[in-house]
Amino acid sequence: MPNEILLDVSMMEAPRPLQEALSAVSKLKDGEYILMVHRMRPCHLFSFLERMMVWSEDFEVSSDKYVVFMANSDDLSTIEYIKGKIADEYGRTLSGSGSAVLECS
Amino acid sequence: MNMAGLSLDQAPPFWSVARFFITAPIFGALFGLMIAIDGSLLFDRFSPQSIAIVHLFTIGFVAMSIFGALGQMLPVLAGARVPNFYIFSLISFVFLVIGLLAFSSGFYFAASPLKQIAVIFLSIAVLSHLAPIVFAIVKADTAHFTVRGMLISVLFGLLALLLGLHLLSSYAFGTLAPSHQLFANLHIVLAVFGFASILIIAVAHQVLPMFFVAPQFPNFCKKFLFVFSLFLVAYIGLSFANVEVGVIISIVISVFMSAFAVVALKKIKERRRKIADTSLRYWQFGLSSLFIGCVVLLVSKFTNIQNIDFILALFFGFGFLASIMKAMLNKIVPFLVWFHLTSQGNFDAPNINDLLPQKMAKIEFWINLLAFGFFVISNFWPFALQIAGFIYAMSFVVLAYNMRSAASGYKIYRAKK
Repeated sequence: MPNEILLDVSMMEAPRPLQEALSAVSKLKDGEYILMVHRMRPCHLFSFLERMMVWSEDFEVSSDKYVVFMANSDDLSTIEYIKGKIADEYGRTLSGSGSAVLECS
Repeated sequence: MNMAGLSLDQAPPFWSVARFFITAPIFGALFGLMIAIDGSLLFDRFSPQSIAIVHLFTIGFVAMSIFGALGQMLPVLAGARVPNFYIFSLISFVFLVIGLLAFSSGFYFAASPLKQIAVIFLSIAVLSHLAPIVFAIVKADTAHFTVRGMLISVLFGLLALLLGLHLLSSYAFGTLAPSHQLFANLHIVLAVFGFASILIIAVAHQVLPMFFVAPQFPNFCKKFLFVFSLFLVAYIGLSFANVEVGVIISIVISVFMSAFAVVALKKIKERRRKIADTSLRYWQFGLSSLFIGCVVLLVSKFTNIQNIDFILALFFGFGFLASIMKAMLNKIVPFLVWFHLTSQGNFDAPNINDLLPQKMAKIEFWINLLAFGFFVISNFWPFALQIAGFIYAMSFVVLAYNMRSAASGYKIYRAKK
């Protein structure tokens, strides 16, 4: 089972969430994924993830809770695990690889 | 709604927005200096010298800061890239600086040729910056509230600036029409409340939760913004129809803007991280000034207040607009440096507190407060006005130094690499 790295940045002021996320992503290994919990959509993050070849899936859980799952883009088994977890825990079915809707909340 | 990710390469180049933020405080300092030389001119808002001085502040500091902020925020929030933004922003910057210098010196020294130059240069500056932004926003087709607010703000801004250019042309070519006073009032209302204030309200919905961990604004506030915009549109139409609406629009402005001030201050109070930095203090001060200004505006419609124009300028201009601009500059410039360095792969880039130490920001804030205090006193003892002007100039000098220091972090870090 992949190792979950919980990154709760919901109480941090910008740009610390982005700083923490980038720091965590730079150390991400295969067999690990990051679950980032934020209070709003981290609009700057996704362009970095794209450049760093990191897969992500993000969605709003409630009006003040936003989650982003991140894994290395070639770590397919971890990505499949995450998709299953999202379906089980959040009732969401994903289509294709994670895509970001770039709209800050 | 898919705005398929803006790549880091599409973010506006650092200097294309940074130059606005670094230059704006210089005009603020010049404004303070002119008051220090002869601030009594401010008490007659239609005197050419007063017009010269005031626009160093409104165009030189406020509008220039807004131009930079629009250029930075639009790609991020709307995923909308302004094509050739580097060129447009360079043109608008150069023409804005030259146009403003020509404007102020033209009015101050009663030189019509300089005013005529200002007409041309400021027209190009405004259109080259705002028109591409409008097209980019419209093309982006976004439902994001802040972006919609930006669009409304920019449209009012274009109208306010076009009115301003018409007024300037009247002075430049000596053709003051009977409708001059009407156009002047429209210009002021649309510039302050249509352009600047609506943008601040729209941006506050994003910035306060983002930078201060404040709760989101309630949904009805978003609707209020559009209702307020409709009132401003009605004001324009009725004014042109020669219907006297001065009292009504003053009441509308007072109610809406004071409501925004109260809600925003409440959101700040409810923030989940209680640490207060200079930027937050500026928001609190600015919103409080806005509230007081609204009360004064409302009261002034029913009773005679001496020097009312100066008092309103004090609270709406120096207190509200300038404070919010300074709050934004203290956050945006270090953030910009950090973001651009990080986007170039430098994950060890200095953090924003290293780029703009809070100690320097605090010094600037307290100097600003001191200046404001002297401005208030000057309403009763005019001798204080020149002191206020000098101290205000000093606050902008410190702000300019802080912005320059933060921005130079970008150059220094890149040079090291």
